This record gives sequence, C-alpha cells and structure tokens, in this order.
Amino acid sequence: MSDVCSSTAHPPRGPRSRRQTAIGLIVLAGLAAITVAVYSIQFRFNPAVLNFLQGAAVATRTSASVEPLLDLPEGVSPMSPAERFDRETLSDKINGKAELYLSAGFIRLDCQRIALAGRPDAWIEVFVYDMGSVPNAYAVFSRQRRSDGTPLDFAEFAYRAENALFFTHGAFYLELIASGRDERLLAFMEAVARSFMARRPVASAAIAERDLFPKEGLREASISLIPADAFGAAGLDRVFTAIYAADGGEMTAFLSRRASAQEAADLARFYVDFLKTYGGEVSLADEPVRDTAVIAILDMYEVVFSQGAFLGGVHDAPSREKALALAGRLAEKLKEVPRVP
Amino acid sequence: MCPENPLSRREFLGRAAKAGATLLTAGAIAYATHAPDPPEPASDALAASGLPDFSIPEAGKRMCIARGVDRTRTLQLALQALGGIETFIRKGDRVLIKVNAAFASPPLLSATTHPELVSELTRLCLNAGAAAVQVTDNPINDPASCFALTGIGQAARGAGAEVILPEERYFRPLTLKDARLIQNWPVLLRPVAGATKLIGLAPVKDHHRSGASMVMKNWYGLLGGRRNIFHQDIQTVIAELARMVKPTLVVLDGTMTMMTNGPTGGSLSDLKETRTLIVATDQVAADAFGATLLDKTAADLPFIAKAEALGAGTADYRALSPIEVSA
Repeated sequence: MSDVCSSTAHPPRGPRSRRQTAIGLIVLAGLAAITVAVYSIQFRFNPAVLNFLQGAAVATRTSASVEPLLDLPEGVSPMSPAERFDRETLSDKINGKAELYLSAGFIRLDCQRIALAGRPDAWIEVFVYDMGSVPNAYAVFSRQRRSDGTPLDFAEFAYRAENALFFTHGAFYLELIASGRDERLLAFMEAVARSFMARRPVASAAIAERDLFPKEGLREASISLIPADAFGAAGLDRVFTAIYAADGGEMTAFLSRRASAQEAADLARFYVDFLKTYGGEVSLADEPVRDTAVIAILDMYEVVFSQGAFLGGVHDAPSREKALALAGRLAEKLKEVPRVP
Repeated sequence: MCPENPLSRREFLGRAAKAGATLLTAGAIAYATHAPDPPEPASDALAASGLPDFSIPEAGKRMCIARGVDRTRTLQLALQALGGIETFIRKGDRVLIKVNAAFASPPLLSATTHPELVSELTRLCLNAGAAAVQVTDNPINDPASCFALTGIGQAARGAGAEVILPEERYFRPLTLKDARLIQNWPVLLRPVAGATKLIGLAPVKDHHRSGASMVMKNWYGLLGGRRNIFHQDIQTVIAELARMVKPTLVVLDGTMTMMTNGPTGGSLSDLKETRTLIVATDQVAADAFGATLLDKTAADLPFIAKAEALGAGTADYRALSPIEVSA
C-alpha cells in the first residue's frame, strides 16, 4: 500500500518543479498583459456608459400592449403595433402635453395606428388614456375641448372635429386622429369608437358638479375641470369652471367640492392670499355669503367664498357688480346640495 | 486512503502567508490608486467646448417676414430678400437641417416641420453648391415612424438630402459652460460635428408647458436621455439650448399656427392660418416675432427674455428692421 502511495503521491520534485515554474510564469505573463490592457483601456472611457447612467440617449422601444387594443372592423388593418406608455414614458409619446395628463391622474396610454385596407395614406391613430376615474377623464376631455367641435350622441362627452373624434368612456379618454379629412375615415373612426365602448362596458357615472352652474348665460360646452394649479395657484386643485357671457365679453364661475366645510374655507383663504400677493386689493361683502372676498386685480374682479363644503367664486369679471351677481346665482345653486359637516 | 496533497504543515502555512500577502498588496495598490469619481467624458473637443459656431458674422443680424400660404414661395422670397441662399450657403458646405419631427403625425396637423419646406430648403442649399445636406432630429418615440409619417423623410430624400435617424453612438455627453441644466448631458453631436452650416426649421406651435414651441424649442430635439426631466424648468433649458446652438439661419413656419392644445395638437380646429414665414439669423428675434402669431408677446414667453439675457440674440425683433415681403 505504501509503495503505491509513494509512486503516485510523491513524484520526483526536480522536473515537475521546472514545468510548474514555466506554467506559473506563463500565467503571470498573461495576468500582466491583462493588467496592462485594463490600465490602458480605462483611459478610453465609452461615453455610452455615461449615457446609460443618465438614461439612454435614444429611447428603447416602448412595450407592446398586453391585449389587442381594438377589435378591428372589416376593411382595416393594423399599421403599427400597439404601444403602451406609463407615467414615466408618457412624454416620449406626447412630449410637453404629458403634464396635462399627469396632473389629472393619468395611469397609462395605449395607442395604435390602423389603416384602411389598400390605402396606406389613409390611417388613424387611436389614443386610449386610462385616467383612473371618471372625473379625471372628464378633466382632460374638457381641458382640450375644441369649441367648434360637433357634439356626438354615442357617449355623454363626445365631439367630432374635421379630422378627429374625442370622447370619454368611464375612466377612459379617447382620441382618434385621422391622417386627413377623408369621410370614410371619419365614419370608420366612429365605428372603432363604438366597438371600443362595446368591448369595455362601464357603469355610467355623472359629473354632478356640471349641474351646479346656473344655466342663464352659461356656455354649456365651456364647463371644464382643472385638476391642479387652477388660475396659476399651486394648491388650488379640482376646480370646475364655466364661462358666462358678460357685456360682449366673458367671465368665469368656478366651484370645487372639498371634503369638509373647513377645508373649503381654508382653500378660499388660500386663494385670496394668493391674489393679494399678486397685487389684488381685497374688500369684503356680505353677499352672496358672509365675508365674501371681492378682489380687484389687473382691471378685473374676482369673487371668492365658501359655502358648506364648496369653494365658489367668479374669475376675470369685467365689473364688481357682475361678479357679485354671478356669484350670487352660483351660491343659490350650491344651496341645493345637501350640506356636509 | 492516500493523501492527495502531501504538503507539510510548514509548507501550507508558508504558501498561505504568501498568498495572503499577495492579496493584501494587490488590494492596497488598488485602494491607493482608485479614483472615487467617474471618469470625465471622452476628450472630444465638441464635448468640451459645446457646439461649433455656425453663424456668419458678416451676414449680420437680419430677418425677413414673408406673407403667403405657399411655403415654397415664401421661403424663396424671404431668402431672396436676405441676399439669396448664397449669402449663407457656400460651395462645398455640408448643411445640417434640424427639423421638428417630434411626432408621427401627418403634415396636415402642423405639429411638425412641413415637408414642403424641407424639400425646398434642401434644393436651395444644393443649388447653392452645398456638398451635402443632412436632415435630423431626435424624436424620442420611434424616429423612423416620425420621419415617415410626417413626410419629412421622403421630402428630404426626394430633394437629395440624407436623413440621419438618431442612434446611440451619435450622442456624446456635453457640458455647456456655466449652464445650470445642460451638464454632461447626451447631445446628438455626430451630425452636428460633420456640418459646416446649421439651419433650424420649425413650425409655430402652442406648447402646454413652455407656452410656445418655435425655433429655440426646436433644439430640444438635439438632446438625448430622459430629457423630459427638463420640463420642470423648461424656460431655462430652452434658453440654454439657444446659447448652445449658434445656427447659420433659422426658418420659422407660421403658415399655419397651432394656437391651442400644443405641442401635439390633433385637430384641425387647433390651427389658424397665419400665412407667415420668418427667416432670420437671430433665433431670439425670430421667436419674439413668432409669439405674435400665437397672439402673445415676447414678454409672455419667459424663455425669450432668458435667451436674450444669455446673449443668444435680441427679443426686440424690430431692431433688426425686418424686411417684409408677400407672395
């Protein structure tokens, strides 16, 4: 046993040692070469790495939608894959308009281009914005509404322009934009819209605040919801506005339903203070409610009050009298709403 | 069992000590020589000093306002009024035209540079003896679709220009001296570096964030990376871009102006026929006049005053005694 071991475990040291030395030297030389290479290459830094650290210079392709965006009717075919954008990537698609959606609670955008069969120049792009709630969808719809649009009846809030169709469906806001004025495209857009609505049934949900604006003098299509920074005041959010005719010009009534009467009163004070910082001169009136603030600013008048859980007021009125008259009518309408503590 | 390693205890301890010493020495050398900060960007002259100055001092600060609905004609007239394209483009020049191809939308919507202008400007440059004309932009979303559906790609190629779509390798980090925002930021430098003349060609548009998108905002398309973070201070970044880019010429297309819902628009209702095209050597003056097409003044758009303060041009476009022509 010991003979076997000695023959395998204890080879002659001399020759093996020289071979080991040679191999060792080769390995060391290799390591030295690698060291030299690393040392020299580190001075040629690839800027792509910096780009990576800051975000890629050219965006990678956006992720495709998980499910088909649309049921395509006969005679059309997809022109591009469906794309999906989230809060991080929305501006890759719509650039500077992203903020409008983000401030209104945007969740995601799915979009796709589709073309008429045999007519690659006749296409539409469908934008489906998931805004998370009915008021959020209404906010982006109303903020972009074209005054010369033709109302459509297949959705509560829908209109058609010369080349496009815009509407809300539950928490979705949709834009269908055509490459031209082609009548066939416009008819096709409506078919696509109806198909989308049939595929995604939603419970109807009214925007109750719309009915709180007094009707006389109201430009019905002007009612809109400002999700944030209303009238330039950071912190003044969820404000409904409506435009009224005033001596050949216009003035705007506004209201915002808050969680409590206290919150409404605090917000009213905040907005009055905001106007004061920009040179507004404040006086108080007893109508329509006690301690109503009337602010003269830049040759216009603002009225601000709180009533129950509502902030109410008038913006950019041409005179104090007209501002207070409209504020009075608004306050009367707000009285119809059951009060909250 | 036979022992596989016949090392003695003494040999083992000796070798372990040597290995440990080697590791310690290597670690100590690495620690002593490592640089805690990331390396500086590539020692590219452009990256170090910003973009080349493409302006032509002898051409002076000049501006022409051309009225009409035919873009090809108004561009021709405006350039003639400024002494002809030869005043700006010489034989052998390599011209880069920076268009606005930000969206894959049809020309009808006026959200992007109109292909007729791309075509005519390319033709004029080549007729003036330009050795090459390149057309570029960095639309973040799917550049190939943007250039195809806007008609810009076809118009450029049809007139003899080369379309440069952005690729990662075309960007270099650039630091604009004394800039607050453009610091070590990837910029589409490669097409710019190969050019001898640079022309900005942009439409007049409303912009939800900045108030307007015109020639100075158009340079935004030279930026790479997650540039949307600049939207937080868009007025400043536009002004810095105007300082970064010193173009030979700018062409501002107000034939149809996007009055609302910019910068994407979407409806023809957003547009107004304003029948005006501006050609200028002063980009700040061009934008200051462009503001009037949006029913605004230069004072309504803070980036104009900021750009002027940074020395990019003058907001008082009248000081340039603009030439007015009609098609």
